Amino acid sequence: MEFRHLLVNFIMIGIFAFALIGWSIFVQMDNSGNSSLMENQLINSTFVDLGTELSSTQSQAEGQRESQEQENPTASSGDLILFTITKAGKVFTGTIRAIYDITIGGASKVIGIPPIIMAGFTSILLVSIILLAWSLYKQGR
Amino acid sequence: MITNIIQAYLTIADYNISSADQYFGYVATVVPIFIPLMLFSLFIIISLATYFSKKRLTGFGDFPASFAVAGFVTTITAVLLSLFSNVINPLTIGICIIVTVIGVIWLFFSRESS
Repeated sequence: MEFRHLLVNFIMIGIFAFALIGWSIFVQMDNSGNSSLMENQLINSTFVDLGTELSSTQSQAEGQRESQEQENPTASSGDLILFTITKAGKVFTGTIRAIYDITIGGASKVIGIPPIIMAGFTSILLVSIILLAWSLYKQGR
Repeated sequence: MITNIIQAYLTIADYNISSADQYFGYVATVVPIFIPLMLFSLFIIISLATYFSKKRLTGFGDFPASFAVAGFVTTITAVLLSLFSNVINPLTIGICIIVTVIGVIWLFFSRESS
């Protein structure tokens, strides 16, 4: 299994679990449910921990992207290296981020998607970009 | 002597019922395992029905997908039942959520491996 697919699977599972528990809690709260899940310590702590982990995933992915952009390619003796390849990777990253912010980012605010859900999708996008930029640098395609 | 040994059974006349939804509360109070068993039956019925239905229509079944769908429907039912008083406890809902998440994990990784 590829690393990217493994990561995407786990983030999607985390988002799904968070959405399922969140939906259950909000349905109970909005309809004055008698057995509120928030009163159950196990479910409450799981929900809070899951939200914290998903939120921190985005900041960690942002940090990895910034680190990746600051990297300078190295070459062994006799290799031909074009530093413009890494510059192309940075332009590629910025373009995708801009399109994402204009389309999905704006739509999420209009629709009202919770920030944690968007953080999950942003993390997937950032890690995919990092891996694609790495592929660009290593293989030149 | 016998009344000391055998606990008095809570009849429906002893249970203060003022609306139709409280019949669920009465059943859950008298037989606490009734609601978990009902949810389990629902889970089994939906998972097997969707699996064999797809197998009959397309020639092959997808049990992880059927498992995930059944868990999802069971969780929705459990949450809706929790809106009535004294019908279901949070532990049962938690178990439903855990089963659903396990189904989703299985579904995601079965797709990847296939």
